[in-house]
Amino acid sequence: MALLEISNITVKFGGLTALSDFSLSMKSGDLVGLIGPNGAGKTTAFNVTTGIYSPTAGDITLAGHRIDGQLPYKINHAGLARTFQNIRLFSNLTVLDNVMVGFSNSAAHGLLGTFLRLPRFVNERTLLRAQSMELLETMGLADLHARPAGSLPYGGQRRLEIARALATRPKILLLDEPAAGMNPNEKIDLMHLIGFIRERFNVGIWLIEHDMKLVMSICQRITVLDHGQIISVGTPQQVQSDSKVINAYLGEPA
Amino acid sequence: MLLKKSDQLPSPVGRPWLHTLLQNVWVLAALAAMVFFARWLENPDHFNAYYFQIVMMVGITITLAVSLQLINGVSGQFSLGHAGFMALGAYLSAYATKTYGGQPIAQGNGDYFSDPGGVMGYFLALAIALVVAAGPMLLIFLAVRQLRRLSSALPAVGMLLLLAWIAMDVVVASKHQPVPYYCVWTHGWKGCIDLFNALLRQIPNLSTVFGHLSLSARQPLSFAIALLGGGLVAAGSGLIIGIPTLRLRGDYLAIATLGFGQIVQVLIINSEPLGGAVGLTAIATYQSIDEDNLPQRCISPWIFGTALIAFLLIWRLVHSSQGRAMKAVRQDEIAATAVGINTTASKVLAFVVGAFFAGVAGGLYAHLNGALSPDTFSFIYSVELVVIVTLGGLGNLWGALIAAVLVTLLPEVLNNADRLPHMTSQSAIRFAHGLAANRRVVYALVLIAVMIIRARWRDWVHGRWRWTG
Repeated sequence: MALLEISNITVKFGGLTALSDFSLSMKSGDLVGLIGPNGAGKTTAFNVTTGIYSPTAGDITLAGHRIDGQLPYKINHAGLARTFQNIRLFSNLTVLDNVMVGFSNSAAHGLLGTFLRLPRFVNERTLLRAQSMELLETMGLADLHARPAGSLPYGGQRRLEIARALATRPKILLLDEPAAGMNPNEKIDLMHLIGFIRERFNVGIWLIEHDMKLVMSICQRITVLDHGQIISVGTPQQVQSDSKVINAYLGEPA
Repeated sequence: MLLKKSDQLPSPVGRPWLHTLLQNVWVLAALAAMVFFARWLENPDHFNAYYFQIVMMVGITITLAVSLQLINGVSGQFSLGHAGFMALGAYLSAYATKTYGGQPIAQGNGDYFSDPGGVMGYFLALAIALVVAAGPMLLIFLAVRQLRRLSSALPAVGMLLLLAWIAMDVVVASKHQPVPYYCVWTHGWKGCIDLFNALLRQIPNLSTVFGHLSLSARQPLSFAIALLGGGLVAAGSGLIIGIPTLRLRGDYLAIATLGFGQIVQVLIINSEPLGGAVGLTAIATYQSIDEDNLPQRCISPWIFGTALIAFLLIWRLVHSSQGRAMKAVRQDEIAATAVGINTTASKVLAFVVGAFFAGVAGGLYAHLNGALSPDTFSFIYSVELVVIVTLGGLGNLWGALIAAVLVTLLPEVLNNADRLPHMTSQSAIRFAHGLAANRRVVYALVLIAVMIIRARWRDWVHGRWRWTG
């Protein structure tokens, strides 16, 4: 059974249809790509899946539970985590704090535990720090843990945003243009990182990306959007040879 | 899988309860030391009434500043209603001790604390009546909210219609005697007030619960209940105000909280039992009875104990996962909600904890002064607290503490410039008096200067200062 099932989602902003009749199905551990020209509705698809927008029509289920129209934090608790196209780190907090924010969902000590520093709080705090450091170690950011997140180099910020999303223990990770603004070497690193994350944390990955080389080489399946409509679905080879896709990117043949 | 839920992992700390003990035992020691130190501090030979008042106001202002720092600085919600929360705590705790705190039993006015049961009964009755009133209101509110399934504009229209109905109801009821049967809201409120009064009649029963305690035990107990009650009422109103208004951002939230402060002030001015515009007078200042059966000033451990506890608890909150969530919400609300933080709950928590300590500080203020005037809790007082918090640096608890001390002391020092040593120049003294009289203008100028300098102090240090850009 599919883990994430998006069926016939439509998003309208007034008279503008940003996304129409969008469907997608992901199994645990899948690596799925979403591509399309600028303004095709890719980020809208992410925003509606993670609850930032409510769909006008259609429904989304995660592991059998309806999540469409839920508040974003509840969708995150259900098992979806995401990164943003324009990096949205808590830039004044330290690198470690950023990751700990993601982990904090599972903190079970209540307000009384915080106020009185009850044994439960002491335990949780130590565990939280250890787990966060372990995660940062895995992502190669452990040395920078005390720096403000905003002071990291660009690639580091991208990695930290992924680490923060992973800290919420997602079943599916949504990456919105992770390679944007990276040089070719960094892109190769990112490619390895995505493969590594998928194996290590056993998460499904849904990826928006403009870099065709990256998308075509790692994704199992690709959905192509144009003007809010799905124009093609299939393996990288199928999509690459689809004339509709070529037309969408390069324009109609004269 | 690498990432496990923490409850599936073994305890990482040996003897965690030892940490708990070590972190809390010094607080008790510090509170005990304050009680001991109070004997010296409150001896009229050491401090006259004027100096004593100033030192006590420093303690109250610290509590207020630190609690506002949690709301404005840490969670980043710009609130201008802190004086409103303080007023609620001040008036309700003062009214409770004054009316239900027991009869005078010795000379002086230090005896309104002989009946903890009365004070407790008052707050219990208030809480029950409020829950009875709030239950149907909450149901109606939730029902109105369901309208958004039909259209996003409908809840607002529904609320407006509801408010119009309530207003019409009250107007009609005020013009007819007896009140017509169709004035549902007026009858509902009258029912709640009747319930409140019926519950209050049960107070003598509650008093007997504490009857066997000695007077020296009953006094601090009833004062503690009055302070806690005032704080909880403020916290409850923070919850009711916070849930709808904290969805607003920036200026809109500031205006909504400002409105709350005004509403509290107007309610107090129009409330006869609370003294109206004249104010509530003849409140017992907190005194205990010493060995010779004479009233003895002893409010300082309460004031500074509250300041210590407020600072400590808020410090712990800020440095916990809840506090980290608040800071994350301040930085980027969308990112925070995307990593699983319930942003509304996080903001409401900051608001409620901040309001609670403001309420307790209000109770202390009432029982320090012995009289309350609604003018004290004006919008300007909220602004003054915001100035303190901003001067201390948003989010900086120590800064708020230091700024609270300085801003409380400075006007008094300037007012007494003529009594300072080596102060002989008449014009300097006049200038100091002028500054103290116009301190609010000075605050504004200082705030503007802080904003400019704080944003560019690096440029300043490196000699790259420019006034523009």
